Amino acid sequence: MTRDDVPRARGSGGAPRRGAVLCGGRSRRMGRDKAWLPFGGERLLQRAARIVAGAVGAGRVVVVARPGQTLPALSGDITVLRDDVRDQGPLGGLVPALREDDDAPCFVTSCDAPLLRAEVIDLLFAALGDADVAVAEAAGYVHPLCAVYRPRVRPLIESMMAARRLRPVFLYDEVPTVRVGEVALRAVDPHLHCLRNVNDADAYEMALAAAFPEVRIELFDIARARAGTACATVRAATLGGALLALADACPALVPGVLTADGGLAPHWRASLGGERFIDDAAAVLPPHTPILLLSALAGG
Amino acid sequence: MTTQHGGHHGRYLHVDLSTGSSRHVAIPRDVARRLIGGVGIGAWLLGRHAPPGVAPLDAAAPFVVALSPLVGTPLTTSAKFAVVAKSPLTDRIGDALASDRFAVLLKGCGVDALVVTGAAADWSLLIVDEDGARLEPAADLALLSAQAAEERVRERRGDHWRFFGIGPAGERLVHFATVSGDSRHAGRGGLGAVLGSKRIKGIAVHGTRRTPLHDSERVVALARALSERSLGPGTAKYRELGTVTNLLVMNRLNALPTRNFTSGSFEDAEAISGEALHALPSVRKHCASCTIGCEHVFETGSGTRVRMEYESLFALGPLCGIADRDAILKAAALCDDLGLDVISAGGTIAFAMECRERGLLAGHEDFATVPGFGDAEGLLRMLADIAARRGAGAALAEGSRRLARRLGGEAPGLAPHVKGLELPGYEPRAMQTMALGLAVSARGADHNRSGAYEADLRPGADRFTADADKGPAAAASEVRAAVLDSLILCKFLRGALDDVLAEGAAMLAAVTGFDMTRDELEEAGRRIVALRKLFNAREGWTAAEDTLPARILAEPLAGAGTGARTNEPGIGVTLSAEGLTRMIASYYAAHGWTDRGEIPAGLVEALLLTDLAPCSEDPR
Repeated sequence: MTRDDVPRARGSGGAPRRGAVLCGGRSRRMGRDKAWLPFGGERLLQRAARIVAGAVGAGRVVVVARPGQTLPALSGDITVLRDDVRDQGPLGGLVPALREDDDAPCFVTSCDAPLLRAEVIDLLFAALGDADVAVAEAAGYVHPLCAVYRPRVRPLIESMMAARRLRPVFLYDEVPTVRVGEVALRAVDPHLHCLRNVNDADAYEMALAAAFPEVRIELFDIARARAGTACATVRAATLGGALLALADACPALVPGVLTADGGLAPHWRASLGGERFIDDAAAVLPPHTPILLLSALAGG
Repeated sequence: MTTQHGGHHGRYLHVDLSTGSSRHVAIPRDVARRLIGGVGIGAWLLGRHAPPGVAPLDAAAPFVVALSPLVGTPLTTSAKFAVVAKSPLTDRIGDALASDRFAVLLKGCGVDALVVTGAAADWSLLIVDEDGARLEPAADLALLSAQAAEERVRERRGDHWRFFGIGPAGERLVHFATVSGDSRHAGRGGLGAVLGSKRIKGIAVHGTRRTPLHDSERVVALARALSERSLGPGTAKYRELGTVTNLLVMNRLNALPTRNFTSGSFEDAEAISGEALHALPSVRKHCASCTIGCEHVFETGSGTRVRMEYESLFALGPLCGIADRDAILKAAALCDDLGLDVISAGGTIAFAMECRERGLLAGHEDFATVPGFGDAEGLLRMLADIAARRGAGAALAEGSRRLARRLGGEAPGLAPHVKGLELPGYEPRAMQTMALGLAVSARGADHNRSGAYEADLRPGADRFTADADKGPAAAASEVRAAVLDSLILCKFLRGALDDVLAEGAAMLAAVTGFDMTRDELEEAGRRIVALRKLFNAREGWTAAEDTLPARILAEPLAGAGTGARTNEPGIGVTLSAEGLTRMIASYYAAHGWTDRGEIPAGLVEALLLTDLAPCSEDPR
């Protein structure tokens, strides 16, 4: 069944929830590990884990990564599970995510949906009712990595995978599933951003554009020399977001000018349009105001 | 291995040129501890030997070269010395630093300082070695650049000698003449004219006496660690590009003095920027005993090699409205050869240019050759005329303050100086903590004895407002600078030091054996700031001198921006006289001075300055 009349109330009456973020994919089209892509002052994996934790509660999120995969720093209450689920389709990641000894339904997403919103997660939990799965559906496509699953479906998924029946619809056909349709989704996410995955550079840029305004960063002295350009344009809402994006776009600026996590290296300053100097990563950038990146060692 | 004492010989050499005599005079160890060396010891010797009210170019005025306990150690950037005299530009204390092996070889002569008084009968070379001092004729060095004279002296005496002397501008008593050695200038305040007034072309030194170190192993360990840090990110800017890249930074902050402070940005800044200079072939040079190597020497199309720094670039470029990169390089090379301080030269010429454009030179026939803004050929001609004291150059050779007094009318309000010393490359209205530092500095408008600009670049600071809380920042900056200038260590090391005072104290303790703490060194910095002020007070300083050019306090900040360029920060910002007064009051309070800027007797005593204060009677 597809429901477009799901109640919009946040939370599910205190019923236990949990969440899982899958990040072990190959990132083939992106050409680099998507977990590390900067997005507004944090990496995609950090962002996804933060958003999911916001909806299911602290300490209730697992990350499913490949064995040996290097991950950005995560909150200490996030559990990292290692399992190689490459080439096993969307269902592959569900098995380790649902393997835990926990009866609570689990919202499952991938790390490459940076525009996911907590309201969408709430919506899916609310829609689950007594069903085993609540999955987002739009334009005729289901989104298995924007869905809530009860752990009891795990044995069925394992048997399907053993039989190489990897398409999620096979699961939905066999267990009680609520398909949360466009009307309900648009009520909390008018542009269905939550369903956008950033599989390639274009999609990544589009997601950034949807989330953040363009910020011009003017580079001076050795920042300019090392970056090989006088200015860079990134998308960010905060100083931290802008600098992390700059560090990602101009690796030569790390570590002398910027730190690897997008902070200012010692002796470097950021100025908003030359009017005032700021160092708070959370500082919100005013519109149409460039950031000047310059050395604090101004003496001659 | 340790010895009880280190770092000092405990004496200075006093040479009286008028009598041809010289003698060693003791420096008590407790004085060395209280004043460290460099600018501190130099200020003390100046006050001790300068008769009250002496004219800077009078034979009785002393010319002091002060070393520091760190000279001769393996600590990076320590081959420095301070030149101290009463400045002919300001009639107040003038002190300037230079880096060269001259410092090491002078210390090798067994002295911690050299004091020169009197005047030679004819142009001479002052020879200093382990046997003392004597004069040699120097007629053959007349009107040579300091560099050429140095080459001549080393040909004559051998490469193991070092020379520090003056060019043609110093010989002709240009009030902003430099003293230099190995192309490094003690630039500010016209100390070259003081040496010239004594008819000394230069000082040649050679000495090999070693200064003991208290704890040589510790010194070596500290030196190794410091050298390593000096090659880290805290100095990367200086090593990779030098200070010339400040130009675009200052321009973007609308803090680049342009056309005699009529604007904070220059429309042609990109064309003459450090980045544009780096399109030329360049080599990097190091001062003696320095691991940083901040000096970038650019090769012009004609093959001439020119050292450029931000201050020379700003003063000979935007300040004079010059947008011709090659002409600026030529002008900088000319200043080096003639022995002219680039800041005062550029500042005085820019002032004259504005006077011409405002019609203030009308009726003064001898000023007919003063060029207008942007006239590169005119700039080069004017520099040569100043050094030769030819035509209008004769008046400009005395600096912008005296020139303004001569012109009268509105000219004095436009002259870009504090206490007679021309302003460096920081637009005061756009950096108001720096404005305070410039206004109160003992040697006049100065960016080396006050690094207050750093406070303007701090997150949270409001650089466009004259807050009362700027006083403590400016005062603390002077104290840190006094410590660095007395140790003496290069200020470009500050990015490599976590705590200048704590680390400086550790170095000083290892070298000298003084059980120096951070607090004691900070106190020494305060003492040195106060001692320099006491000299000025003896020479007639009043709080009225702690101010800025009238135009800075009257005109709002402008920028180059017209049309599309409207994103310049601070356009229309003002710095009122009331605002400056408010900041100065908080600065005086931060130092513990009275509201008239005087140092209370109790503080003189508390700072252990009573016996070090400048003499009140003629020492002769």
